[in-house]
Amino acid sequence: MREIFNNVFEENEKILTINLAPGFSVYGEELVKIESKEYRVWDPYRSKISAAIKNGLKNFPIREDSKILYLGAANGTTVSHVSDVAKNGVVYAVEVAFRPMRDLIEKVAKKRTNVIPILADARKPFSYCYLVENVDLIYADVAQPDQTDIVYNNAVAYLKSGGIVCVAIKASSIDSTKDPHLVVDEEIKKMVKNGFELIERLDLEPFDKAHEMVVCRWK
Amino acid sequence: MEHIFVVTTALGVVILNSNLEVKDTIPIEDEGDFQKRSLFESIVRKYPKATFIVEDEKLKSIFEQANGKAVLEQPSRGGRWVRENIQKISEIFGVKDYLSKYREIALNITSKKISEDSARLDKELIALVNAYESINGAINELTEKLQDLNDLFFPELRKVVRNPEKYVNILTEYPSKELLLSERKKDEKLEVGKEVVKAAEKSIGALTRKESEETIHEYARTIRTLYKLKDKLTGRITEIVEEIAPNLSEIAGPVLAAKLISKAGGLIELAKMPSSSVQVIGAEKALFRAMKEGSKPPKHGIIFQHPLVHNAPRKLRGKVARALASKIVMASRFDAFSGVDSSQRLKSELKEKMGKIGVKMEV
Repeated sequence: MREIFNNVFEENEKILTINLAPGFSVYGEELVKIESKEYRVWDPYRSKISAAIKNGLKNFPIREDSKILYLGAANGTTVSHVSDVAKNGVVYAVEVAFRPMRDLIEKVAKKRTNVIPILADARKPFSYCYLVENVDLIYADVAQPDQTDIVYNNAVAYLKSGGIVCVAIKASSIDSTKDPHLVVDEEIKKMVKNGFELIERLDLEPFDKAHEMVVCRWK
Repeated sequence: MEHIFVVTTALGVVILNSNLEVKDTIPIEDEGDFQKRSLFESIVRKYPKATFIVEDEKLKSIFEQANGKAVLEQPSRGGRWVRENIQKISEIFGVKDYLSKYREIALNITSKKISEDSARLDKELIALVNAYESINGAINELTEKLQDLNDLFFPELRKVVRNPEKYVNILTEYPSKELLLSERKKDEKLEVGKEVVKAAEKSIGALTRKESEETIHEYARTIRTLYKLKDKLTGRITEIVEEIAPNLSEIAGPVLAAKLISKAGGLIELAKMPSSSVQVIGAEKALFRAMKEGSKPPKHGIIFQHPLVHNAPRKLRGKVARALASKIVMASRFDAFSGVDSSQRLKSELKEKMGKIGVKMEV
């Protein structure tokens, strides 16, 4: 086993994180015990960050003490691994739909003290201003055509200067008729215009079709 | 004129002057306090001449209701400062571990919203669908009886006005052919069709007496009220379905989506069903008859109400119903378990499938 990033491990081609809630599997992922520590297998087909790691992501943005604003938390599959990695930090997990939020609460937020669940629309960042603080990282996976604007508005409100945004861009939710790479090009151009600096972009094939992970730094 | 930042945190309200010095902190007892107007009224009273800079639209209107002057800044300088220095702020509030306080409040608020919303909305939807179906049945039955009654006086109206709602509306306005014709004399451009006027002129029905006219008028008016109620219910049903099951609503249409959820006993229950069961929801009688007696099983249940099915040629309806049921179940699963918007993908898949079957589908 080797530690490929801080708190992220690899063994037998599997990506692992140390289970912050031992004995409990969040979404049916495999639990592995190695040298008396319990790890959870981070499924690249279920989580885009894991897919990005698999595809050779160089700038892994999550630190042990990162403060993270997570937009589009869904039922907490990825949030749980992010919470494993940022074990001394905090994940502000924003999700607008209440059904997935129910899972997020029961399976993730109640079992992990570093996850703060926020039922709100990421399009209206100030509807949750009293529940968050300034963060080091914004991770967004909202699959909306205006995702880039959503990220920008949240960055203006909550991202520290020099902070990182990491965006999973689903080309087909922006324009399903164009070449996916061109769609992502356009979105990156928009972000640069908004004051972000591109650090890395990465195709998520074969785990997710026509998705890219884009990592940027805020001015 | 003093400008004051009012910043809300999970610990309480922080008040800063324009030099970002903390002037005041008001701790909150529980998360409900943010909704309490008295809290903000006391701030207005304390700083009567100030302009309050707030970040939340709701807060702005609360200040204005309390006769304070408020401006919206998103984000405000004060807000960013507070959220950057939340550690310092929590010391002022005397809170050691602000994160656990934030988490506690967030968990409370979110859990409350969820349990209220999902349980209530599911139940409300089922109740509304039941009410809708009763009212719909009542309308149909009452309209038939109205037609039977009116046939004595104006039997031709049934033939020229096929749409029952229009029929009822005409009788509400003109409960007798005699009234219709006399009104028509006064006003050439009467808002009923030419055919109706023609039919009234040539009608073989009996002369309508005043007493009968009054009864018909009252009767038709009552049915029209029911139509209005039905519209109202449809509106609310659509609202709820679009909130709890946006994917399903997009694929099936809001009313059919609501009926499916209601028949299944809830969104999660529908999502757990196999597609073959969804295909025949509402045709249980035919299905069990088929199983018992070996007759042909039904091709479709209430999904027949989907235009793709009932507009398809009879021979293809079974195939169409099967394909549609499969996408309906998938959509309900997205809604119940992930919340991801996949309706466009499902729609284009459905369109492709329809193409293979040989049925045209507009997207």
